[in-house]
Amino acid sequence: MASGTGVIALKYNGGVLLASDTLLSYGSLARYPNIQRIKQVGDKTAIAASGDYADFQYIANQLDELIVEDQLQDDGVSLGPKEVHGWLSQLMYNSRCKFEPLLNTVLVTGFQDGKSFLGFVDSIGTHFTCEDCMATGLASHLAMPLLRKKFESNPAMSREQAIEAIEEALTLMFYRDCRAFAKYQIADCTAAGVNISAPRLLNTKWDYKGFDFEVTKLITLPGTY
Amino acid sequence: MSSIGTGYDLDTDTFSPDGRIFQVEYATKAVDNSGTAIGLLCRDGVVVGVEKTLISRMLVPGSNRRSMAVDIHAGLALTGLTADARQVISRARAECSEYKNSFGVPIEGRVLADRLAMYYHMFTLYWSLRPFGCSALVASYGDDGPQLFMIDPSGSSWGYYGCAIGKGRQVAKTELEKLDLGKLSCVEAVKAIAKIIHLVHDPTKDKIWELEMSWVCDASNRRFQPVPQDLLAQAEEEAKKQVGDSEKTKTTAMSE
Repeated sequence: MASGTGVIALKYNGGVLLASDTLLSYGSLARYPNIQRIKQVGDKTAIAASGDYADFQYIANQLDELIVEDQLQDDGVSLGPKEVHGWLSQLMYNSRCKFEPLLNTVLVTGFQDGKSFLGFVDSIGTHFTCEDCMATGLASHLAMPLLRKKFESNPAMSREQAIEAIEEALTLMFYRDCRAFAKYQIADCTAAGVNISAPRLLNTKWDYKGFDFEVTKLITLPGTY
Repeated sequence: MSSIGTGYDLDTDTFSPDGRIFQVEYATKAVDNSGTAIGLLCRDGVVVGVEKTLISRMLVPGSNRRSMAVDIHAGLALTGLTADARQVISRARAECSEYKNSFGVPIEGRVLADRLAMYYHMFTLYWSLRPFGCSALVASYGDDGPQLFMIDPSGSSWGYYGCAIGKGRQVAKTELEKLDLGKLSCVEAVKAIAKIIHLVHDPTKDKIWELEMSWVCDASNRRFQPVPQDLLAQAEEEAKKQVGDSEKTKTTAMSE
């Protein structure tokens, strides 16, 4: 039942960013802290999902098979984010119809036909594309307002501005979501392809007086402190 | 020339008194009468080339492929009956996919060759089936390194450093033996194969033809794909020069 918390995506001028932390939780246990939860699919697409990781691995394997089959055709056309999103939405909806839902909410990002693509699919097969930003899981409550505000104030933002916005959102998620983590990765989808960054740590602030041991200690042992 | 197999050559499940299966031998004749295919195992990959005889000048260049990928890291080049070749490719793709589903890793060259050999061989056991009229060069580049195998209609599979099948194989084999097999780079192999195929090609018999080459190597990121157009064009230019002026004046339809 290893699961990941919310993932977020934000479009910018020239591409789209997809970010997730690198933690798989086992209930309340932060069990696997160094897992890449973003997957590249073919040349143009990156996907990430919140929810059950085993189901996400199943989705990833199915998509890999789909990509190989398409590449073997060698017909000069390859599956892009739009096709991956469409296929995935049917996979999830049909699983739901069989009462075997894939317990994930997936974000599909990529760059195709000169435009960035951002799509959403959830475990009951609800699917749509987004013009600005999207988040899954708890991040849809925590990060979405922030991302929307950033996008509305500057829809044609640069990659650096977008990364700043994403990092701010991830920091907020780490502060407020018990199942989130400070180590994260960002995938950048542009005309040049997909680039998934190495894991890095968020800058978080803990030096508040309220967190001092003097303030938080429960008892004073005799002979100490 | 072989002896006449009267009476013992009607079904593939019949031996002749001298221990031959004539149907398999006749299938091999279908291969031997087709365009030459050459495979070369290099230190950084595998290169395969096929002399594609065309039936019409109106065919789109590069269509009717003879060398096709069966997995990301592996591909086949076949010579003989094209329709039979498509069946073999289809089966090879299924084998690669099944293997990955069962074992979680891409299929190794020798395992794929073995599976295809078993498939070919199966068709030599039953009266109701006929053997495949094509031979396959299996090229792969996985964690087991570059691999080249050849499977003939009888279902025998052998690993090679350099292999030639089809009508020009005798001359091609002689030329291949002159090369530093196993130590060439893929780019050198592309030029060598282009030269050999131009050498063995008979312009009086097959007026219109096309050279198709594919490789799986470090330069292609271990993916089986057609050799880049510019490298192929350059290799053919050099080949035509080396093989002599008499080749240049004949009409050939090249892929542009």
